[in-house]
Amino acid sequence: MQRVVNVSLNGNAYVLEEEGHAAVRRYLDEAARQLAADPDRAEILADLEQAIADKCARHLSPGKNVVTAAEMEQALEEMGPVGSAQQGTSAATAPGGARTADGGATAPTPPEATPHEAPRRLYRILETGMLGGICSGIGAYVRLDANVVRAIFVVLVVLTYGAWILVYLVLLFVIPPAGTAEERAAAHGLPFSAQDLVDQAKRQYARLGRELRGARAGARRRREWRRQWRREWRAAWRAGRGAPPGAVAPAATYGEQIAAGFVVPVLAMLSAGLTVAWFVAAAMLVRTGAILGWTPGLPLWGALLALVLVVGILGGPIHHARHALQRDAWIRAPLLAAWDGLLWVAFLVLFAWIAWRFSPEVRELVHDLPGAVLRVRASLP
Amino acid sequence: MSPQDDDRFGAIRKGLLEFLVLRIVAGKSVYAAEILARLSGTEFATQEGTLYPLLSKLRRAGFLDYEWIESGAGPPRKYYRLTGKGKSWLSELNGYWKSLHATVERIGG
Repeated sequence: MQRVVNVSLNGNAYVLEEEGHAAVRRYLDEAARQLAADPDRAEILADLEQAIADKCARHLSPGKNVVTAAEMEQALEEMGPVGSAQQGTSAATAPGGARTADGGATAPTPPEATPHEAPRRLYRILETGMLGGICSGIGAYVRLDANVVRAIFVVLVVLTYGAWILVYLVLLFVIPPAGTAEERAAAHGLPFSAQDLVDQAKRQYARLGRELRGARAGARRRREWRRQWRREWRAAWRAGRGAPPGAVAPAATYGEQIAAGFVVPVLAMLSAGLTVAWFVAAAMLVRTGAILGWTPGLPLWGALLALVLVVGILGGPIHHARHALQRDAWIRAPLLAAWDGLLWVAFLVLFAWIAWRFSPEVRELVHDLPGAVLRVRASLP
Repeated sequence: MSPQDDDRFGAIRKGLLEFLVLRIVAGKSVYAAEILARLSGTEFATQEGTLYPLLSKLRRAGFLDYEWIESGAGPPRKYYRLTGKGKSWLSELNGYWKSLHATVERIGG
């Protein structure tokens, strides 16, 4: 009696005996090594998995749902070793023939293939995450199981008496989520080629087309779906081939996204601070005709106008930057845009409270607004 | 000894496998297992481990294209066909093969 392992072969579930699982794991790992320099590595591996699955499925029936180790071994022998296409095709071995090569004539000598320089970046992986995908993302980045990372986080929360939760929140806003397929590949440190996109699109079309045909789908739904698929297909093609001329500016790079996470709260603080500062300066002008002891050589209304201009000039770039970040963030991480809004309000309240506590001019202005208006009107020529 | 075990001719077979695969795909849209079935029993019998990287290389070179077509039972399959570029490359190969054959017949023997 053997233990069994549940695996997914190219998207379908199979139950393998433990030894058989080890064997197919070795086969696929070796294939991945051989294909390390091949840009279609992912696609070929998927094809290989499917071929293995097809061979195993032959031995399954309603009364037998486990693939034995012997059956898996036979399937792998039929598959034959994977040789990189670059070296030319390996000499054929008869199916079921012995693996022991005489003089190594059957299998190509494995090249010292260095894996592609695949980028590896820290993203939040929402698909496999529980809350914000932080532990999943960190797990993929350092090649640890996500649950191990989660356990470590929980321990840290306990050890720091809850302060670690703040760190979690900061990470939540600073680390971008992996949105596109390319980002998801980078999150795991896998090389990604344009062909992957094209292959994904093709595969999706076939699968969903089958579902629609099976369901009681009307012709209209199918037409709509086909139109949508064509749009996605074109987008995937464009992404693989590079954007056509005149296309929309590319989305933010990883560095830009991280920077945005840090910059947004700073900008919110500056913007709110500037607003309150304007109000305080206006209050001071109205009350005493001077801002912190400095008298502008202008009548009251002129000084107020000048103040508005100065604030406009100073605040212009800040607001521009905030809008630019919001526009980009709203599509990719709505959380960031909401965060920005909340922060701005929070800073506004904080600065306004400080102004109220420490500036008598502000208090007076608020208490006596009509009087202030009269004073401004009096200063007009 | 079955024809495909004779490694003395391995180098010749290696060079020709691509040619053979293109000839098979030229007929009608085929999927990988069909190609393997056609080649099995001949000198060019080969395995998935060899064929899939080769098909991928031919696709990258622009000679082949594929379509996912659902099968009756089971997941969809990739059906390969020749592209225009593939067709012209195959006719070049066919021509070359004929001239090679003629040369071999003419020289010596």
